[in-house]
Amino acid sequence: MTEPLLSIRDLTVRVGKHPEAPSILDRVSLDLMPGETLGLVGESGSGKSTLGMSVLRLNSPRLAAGTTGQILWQGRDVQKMSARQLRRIRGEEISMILQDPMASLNPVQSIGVQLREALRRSGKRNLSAAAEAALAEVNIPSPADRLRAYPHQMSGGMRQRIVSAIGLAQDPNLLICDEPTTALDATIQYQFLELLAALRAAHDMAMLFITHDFGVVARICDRVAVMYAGRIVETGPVAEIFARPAHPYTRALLASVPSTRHAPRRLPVIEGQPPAVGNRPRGCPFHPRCAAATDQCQSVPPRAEIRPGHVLDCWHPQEIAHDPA
Amino acid sequence: MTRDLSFKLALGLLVVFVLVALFGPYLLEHDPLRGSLRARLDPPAWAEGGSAEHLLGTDRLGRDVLARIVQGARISLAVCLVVIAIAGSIGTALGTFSGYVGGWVDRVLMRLVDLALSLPVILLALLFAAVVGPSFLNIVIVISMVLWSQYARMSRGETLRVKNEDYVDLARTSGLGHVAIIFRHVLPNIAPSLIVVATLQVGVVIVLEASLSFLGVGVPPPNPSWGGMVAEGRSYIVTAWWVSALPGIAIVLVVMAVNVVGDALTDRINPGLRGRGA
Amino acid sequence: MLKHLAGRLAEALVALVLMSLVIFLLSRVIGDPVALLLSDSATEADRQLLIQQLGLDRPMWQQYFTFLGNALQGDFGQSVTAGREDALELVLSRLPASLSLAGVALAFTLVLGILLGVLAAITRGTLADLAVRMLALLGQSAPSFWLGIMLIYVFAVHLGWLPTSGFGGPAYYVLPALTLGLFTLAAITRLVRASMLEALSSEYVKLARIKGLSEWSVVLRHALGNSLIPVVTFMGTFFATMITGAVVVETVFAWPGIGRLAYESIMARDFPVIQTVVLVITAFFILANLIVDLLYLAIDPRMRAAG
Ligand SMILES: Nc1ncnc2c1ncn2[C@@H]1O[C@H](COP(=O)(O)OP(=O)(O)OP(=O)(O)O)[C@@H](O)[C@H]1O
Ligand code: SF4
Ligand SMILES: [Mg+2]
Repeated sequence: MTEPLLSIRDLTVRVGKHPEAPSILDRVSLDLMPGETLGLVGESGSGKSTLGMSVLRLNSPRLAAGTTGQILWQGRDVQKMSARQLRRIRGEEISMILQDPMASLNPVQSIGVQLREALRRSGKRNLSAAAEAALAEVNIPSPADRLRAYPHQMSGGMRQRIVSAIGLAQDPNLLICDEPTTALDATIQYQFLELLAALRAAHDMAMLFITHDFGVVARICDRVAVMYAGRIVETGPVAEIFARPAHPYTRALLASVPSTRHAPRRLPVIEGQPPAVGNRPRGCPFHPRCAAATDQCQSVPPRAEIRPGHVLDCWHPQEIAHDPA
Repeated sequence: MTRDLSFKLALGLLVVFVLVALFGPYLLEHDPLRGSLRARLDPPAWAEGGSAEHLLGTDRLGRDVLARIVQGARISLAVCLVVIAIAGSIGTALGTFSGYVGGWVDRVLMRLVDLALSLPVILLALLFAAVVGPSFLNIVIVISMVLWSQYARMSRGETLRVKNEDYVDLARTSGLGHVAIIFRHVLPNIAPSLIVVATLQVGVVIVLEASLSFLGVGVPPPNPSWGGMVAEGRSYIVTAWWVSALPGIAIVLVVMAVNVVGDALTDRINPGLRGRGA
Repeated sequence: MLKHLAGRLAEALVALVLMSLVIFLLSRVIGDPVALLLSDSATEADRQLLIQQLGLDRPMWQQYFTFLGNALQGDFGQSVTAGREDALELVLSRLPASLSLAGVALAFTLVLGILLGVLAAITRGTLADLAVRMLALLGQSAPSFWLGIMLIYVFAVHLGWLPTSGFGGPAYYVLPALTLGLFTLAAITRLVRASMLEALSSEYVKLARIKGLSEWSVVLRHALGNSLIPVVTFMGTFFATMITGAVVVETVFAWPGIGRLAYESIMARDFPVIQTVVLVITAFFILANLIVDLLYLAIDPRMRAAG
């Protein structure tokens, strides 16, 4: 079996160094194989962005100080890397498209400057030609003109594609996409997903795809991990999770997705509120909202692999097949 | 954590300042206005030749520096309170009116405020003070003339924000008059921001009053204003540094405390104001 | 954008005219110029003559327009002091000393303020940050007249390193420039620190890091440019603070600039000179604000497009 490209073990991120400080991520573990696309799904505030940014050590100093556990990139621990080693990985091996594409471009620099800055590191010789090619690859018309423009002169969809071009500029082995489609309207969303899928194939990348949206997961991911309150509660191959979701939270999420998957929607609200950081219940964090909860759920649920690759943390896995009707 | 500590320290210092200004003069045995010719330019107690009789030394006329600083605190506080009352009510009235009425009235008034903010006001104050002569009343008027515009700008912006809130609409549709709406619904809601402005201005007022007094157009002698004391001590700074240095330190401490408290209040009440302290 | 600039220019003119009106009224209404100009031994006939000479018997508005008309032709009258110098010439002769002092103060303030602000932001929470913040707090709280006296006491009287006061070579600039600049230095430091912290936690800085840029490139190429925008916005205010601060600082250091001239003429009730000084200073204020507007255009591309 091949080694995982990225392997996260017991990653915990607290708000500050204090061992009792509230945690945003709580013992998160996951593996990502070369070329694989893993979807990361969960309600707002469950810690998806924090997880994605941890991989590149982009969290604020406060969160960085409160980070424990391992993030192994091709066997090397990102947490222990020197600034120089980390820089070599950023962009060239792992890249990321941030959640807010509108704010991701420097407002006082032209697109060309910002794009060439990324291309320069990959040792391309003719930077201007490379920059034009990079914009053409993400379907931006008349790229030569666009290079001279400033971010505020462009539409949201255009900026999103430019941010993707910057993310891909150094031909990374892993691209982390943080909800790259939520800021876009439905038709552009669809085009953009197609584009990402094509680019993934062309560059032979692995992807960590953060989203609110099971429709997007179905379209682009191989596996999916469901997050709740800073933990991964269930993970497995996409077809398996869709056919036989076993965690009550996953089932609740899927039950509320419209059966026609052509109109992707944000995750609808389940009865009750997700707990705020620092106010998360002990044991299974879902128990106040869970229909299947028992007294047992007050203590940390066990982890079980109920089918090959299908893992969940729950005292009472739901075995009946999910009925999408 | 250091933030919290410095906030508490600063608040403590301000409380001391107010207490000293209110009760200090009754607790000291020396008269701030009466000197003794035998005790001219006596150094502070800890310096060579100093005595416990005059803890902070004496000035050229043999007046006790501590007693004068304490009396000066009272003057500073009085100027602050009166100025903030005058400038605050004029500025708030104009700003609230302007924001509430809107239209061309608003445009004209705000242009005026912009102008007031863009003129070399210290010069105007100096000019005015020189023309009308130094007195407590005049200095209060002069400083208020300079500072009202900040309240006007803030209260206008806040009024615009509050004006379209649901509860104001509700009050309007339920037939409440404009004046009643302003007093019952608008003012209470913009008060926190105005308190922030007022706090930040305490430091400005103290320094402005001290500067004008230093230049000889502020609180007239022999009343001990801190700025005036610094000016008096200036000519014999070489032989008696304490006469100038100590009142200045009093100014620095109080203004520093006010700034720390003001910043903390800004963060808590109206973070949008941050960095605009300049 | 041109429209915006034209608007600012119009505003500036209104400000100047308004200022001239205020000064005119102050000098004519409150300070009786006749009483100022006449010696104590003057007779009633002298008085009437002077009133006629000065045109004070005409209506107020006529007097104002005469004043304005003369001013536009560069005639601000003569100083009422013994020298009877031309007011405008007097003011212009004092201008270089003031401008050079303000220039030195502004330059050192900008360089040091930006350096300290950036340093504090990238070392946030450390001792260096705390030290910078304390310095800024002190700078914002110390009144300049006191600070000047203390600097003279320590560096000129006690240590003997620098001249106590007066105008001359570079050594003469150190203490006045420091005194004049400290408040602004503190303000710039705080401003840069705050906006740098904001920039450092922005998404575009994260993207710069994702590209694999070094920390230096991230700070210098991406965060710094953006965190200087607020400094530019406040440049007009800073310059204004310096001009008005000059009144106090030049007085403390016996600096032969327009600040001290303003103070002296106000104390001597020398209204022709006062009018000229105040108008010249106002003109500088306005000029500074226009320059800031232009600078703003140069640094922020978003402004170029905006109306
Ligand atoms: N620097 C920080 N300090 C304190 N709390 C933080 C910090 N950064 C993030 N959080 C908190 O951590 C939680 C998780 O944030 P995160 O952005 O990772 O969620 P998310 O799953 O990406 O949500 P969304 O879907 O809204 O993007 C949130 O409650 C957020 O408020
Ligand atoms: S552990 Fe209990 S509370 Fe948590 S999901 Fe499973 S059944 Fe529900
Ligand atoms: Mg997120």
